[in-house]
Amino acid sequence: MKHVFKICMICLLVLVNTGCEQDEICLEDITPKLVIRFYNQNIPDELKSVLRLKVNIEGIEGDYTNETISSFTDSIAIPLMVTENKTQFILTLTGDESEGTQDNLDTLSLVYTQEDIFVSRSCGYKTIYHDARVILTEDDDNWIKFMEPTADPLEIIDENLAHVKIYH
Amino acid sequence: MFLLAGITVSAQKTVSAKDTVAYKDRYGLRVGLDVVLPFYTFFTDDNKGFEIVGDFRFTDRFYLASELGYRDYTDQEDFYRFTTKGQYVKIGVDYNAYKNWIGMENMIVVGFRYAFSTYDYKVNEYNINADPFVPVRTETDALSYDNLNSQWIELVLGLKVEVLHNVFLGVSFRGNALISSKEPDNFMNLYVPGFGDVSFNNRGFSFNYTLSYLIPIYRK
Repeated sequence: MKHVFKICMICLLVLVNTGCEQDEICLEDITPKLVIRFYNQNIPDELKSVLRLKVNIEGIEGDYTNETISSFTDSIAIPLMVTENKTQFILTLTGDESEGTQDNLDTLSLVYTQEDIFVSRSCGYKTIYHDARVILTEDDDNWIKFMEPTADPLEIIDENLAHVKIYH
Repeated sequence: MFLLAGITVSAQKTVSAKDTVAYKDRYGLRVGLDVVLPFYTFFTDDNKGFEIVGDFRFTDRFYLASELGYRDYTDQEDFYRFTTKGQYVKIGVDYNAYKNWIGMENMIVVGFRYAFSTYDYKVNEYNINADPFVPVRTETDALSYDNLNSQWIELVLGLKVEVLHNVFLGVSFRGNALISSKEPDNFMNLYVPGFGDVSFNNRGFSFNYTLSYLIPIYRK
């Protein structure tokens, strides 16, 4: 009987396993994107959606797409470069043959400084942007009539409110 | 074991001669070490440490218990890798919930500990967690967070089995709760030596496997 007890106890010791892993997913906000809202150039308080918008970031191949960039949108969120302290992106109004319009490319540039912030175990580090300045490149035919940052200096720390207003 | 069986048999024989036979339990100091940590230390690069354990029986069922240890542990998370180095001390009481047959000294341990640890963190490398459309920025200049400390309490559930004369194999499961800690700026207490991974609600759990030797001091 004593041996049975001893064997049972040893088996129990062996069975208890340490193989437990924390399985967390990142739910907190990570590096914020630039939030742009589109307004009517004639009635500045009125939101005005953009038809057939295309977003490209200079230096990166391909169109940027996410759930905010649809065929008809009044607000978009664009990621900023974290490897550099500036981002240049091209907002294109795609032309339509039946309407006889052509693609209209407008370029926006941002310069900023970055600060790395630890978020949580599963999210790791994000960066937030300080002292951001936005510049619209003028050309012969800007579809963006004018734009303004919502704060000066502009701090991009979350995606709750628009950072830049674009009037068109 | 055969010796002990012999005692039981002789005890039964003497019942006719005497009404009671007093068996004297052994009291002493039991010292040992964690048997898993040396394997990690010798066979891995990212997990090193040792732990010395000890207990002293002061009543029939109560033991004064303590652990001392050191850990050098590297944790690879999705976006960063960090190393924790530090030492800890735990002190508390174990209660033997198992009623042994005469001559046996096995234990079902229920106990608690107060624990204190001092440690440093080094974030060796991290990637900025941003939209996957833009290139990743990796920082490899280590960030150091020194002179941190934590104190916590542990609830201990365990077993100790005498496998050879005076030699005990033990396992314990510990539920831990942080009482207070000195948090690093712009980082978090994610791992504490002796505590293990700290979860979001400042709880954690850990195991240890020990081999210890009983130095008998007196019988009572």
